[in-house]
Amino acid sequence: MKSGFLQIALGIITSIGGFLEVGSIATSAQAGASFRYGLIWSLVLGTVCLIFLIEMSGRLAAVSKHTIADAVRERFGFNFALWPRLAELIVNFLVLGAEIGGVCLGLKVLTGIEARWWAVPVALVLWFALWVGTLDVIENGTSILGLLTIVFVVAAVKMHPDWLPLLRGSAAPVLPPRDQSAHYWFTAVSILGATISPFMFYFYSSGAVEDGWNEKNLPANRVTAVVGMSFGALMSIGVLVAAAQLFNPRGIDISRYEQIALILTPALHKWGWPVFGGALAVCCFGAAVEISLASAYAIAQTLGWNWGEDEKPAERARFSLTYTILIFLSIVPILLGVDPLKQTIFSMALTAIVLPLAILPFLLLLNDEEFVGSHRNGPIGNTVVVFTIFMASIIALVAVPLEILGGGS
Amino acid sequence: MRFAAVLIALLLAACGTKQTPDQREKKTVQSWEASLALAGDAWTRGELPKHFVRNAADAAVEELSKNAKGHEAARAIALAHQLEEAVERDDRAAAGRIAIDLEEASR
Repeated sequence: MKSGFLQIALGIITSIGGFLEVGSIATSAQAGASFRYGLIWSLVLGTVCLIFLIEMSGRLAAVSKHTIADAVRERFGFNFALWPRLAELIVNFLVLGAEIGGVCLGLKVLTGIEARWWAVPVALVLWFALWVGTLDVIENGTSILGLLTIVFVVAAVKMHPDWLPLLRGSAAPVLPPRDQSAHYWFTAVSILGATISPFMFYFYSSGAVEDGWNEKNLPANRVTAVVGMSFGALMSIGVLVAAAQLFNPRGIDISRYEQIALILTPALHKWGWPVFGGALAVCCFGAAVEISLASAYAIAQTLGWNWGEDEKPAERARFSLTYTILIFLSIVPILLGVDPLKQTIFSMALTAIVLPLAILPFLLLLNDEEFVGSHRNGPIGNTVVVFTIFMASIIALVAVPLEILGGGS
Repeated sequence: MRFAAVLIALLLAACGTKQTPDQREKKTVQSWEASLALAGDAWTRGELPKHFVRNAADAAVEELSKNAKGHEAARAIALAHQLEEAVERDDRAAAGRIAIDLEEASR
């Protein structure tokens, strides 16, 4: 087990490096281009909810030595655990395809070679990294490379944003004209889906159990959740603000990644495009690692299989087979030429729809003395979970009609 | 529950009005003209490689052919092709002129 300081440092780096992925880049860029600073509030709101839920995932793992999926199965039974896991698996499959698509697009920006030609090599590298790597090596390696995404904040500051409207947009919705309302709310839904990703809870709690956390790790868990996720969100806000500065005044609506790829050019000039391509490829690769593992963790823990990234593949064969199948199936849409941005936005909205299923167990498990003893949720934690479930349910009811009305506009 | 129902109703009502097909088409054309103007201008300053502008022009032609009709879309597609050709020839002066045309058309 790592020392407290090292754990916090690595946790924060992981959060910063792992926060930005294809969904948050796409939704933030669309939001900034179409509505200037008018949707920063949705990023702030999603991040506050995420901080609480990540802290709870780590607390549950440290105190009970159970991951989320494991605890749900033990507390509520197999039948209760199975259906949410299946729904999340479908969503994770689409999100994984979108992340691999993001790596391919990053490589397309760097080389000019069509994204679909990269799908098989990227899937092979991803699978090989998971097959031979340990959790620490994979996670820390991609996260440290992912720190490259700090350039989005640097670019945003260099582009001289208007601070007062920016702060106003962070605090409350800035509503657009009525004819853009559907697009506005659909983008808000997609941002929330991109920010509060259920796979992060499974990944975080499984990593904590693999790393042997105990009650002594609780302060470090809290600091990691608050500082790491806040800094991570800052990267997404950087993308949104840079897009607001560059695209919004020119009336550019984002419909393709080829447009987003221009985002760093005004601030970094000739370094803008390679840094963007590299950052997109690296952060999407990191997210693809996390989603592949999180999906395999959730399935293995629900079905009671051996699991663990630090074990040899032969010792957890079904766990390894799960991520292998997922990775190679998820590239089929890319090979078929499905538009990566549309798949990304669709999968982010779908993520928002399954959120209530993923979050509801938090409320019950984190108030159950059998699991968390005296470390139960306080009133603020419970209020945030109830609010998130409520918000996620509303989102689930509204997201589909919004997609029909506004997603494509 | 009542609050939730009211919230959903308000959200859906807010989304009741959407852009007409003409407005959407005009917006798509203007958006791609502005995007290509940015890319073309950056290329003339040596800030983007050829393949980047080629990819952007191809994406613009694909999206405009799919989502926009009429003479404005046709003009934007023609300018996208001209920009791509100028970039292939390494003709920075011509690319600069096309970028200005695209920017003016997008206003």
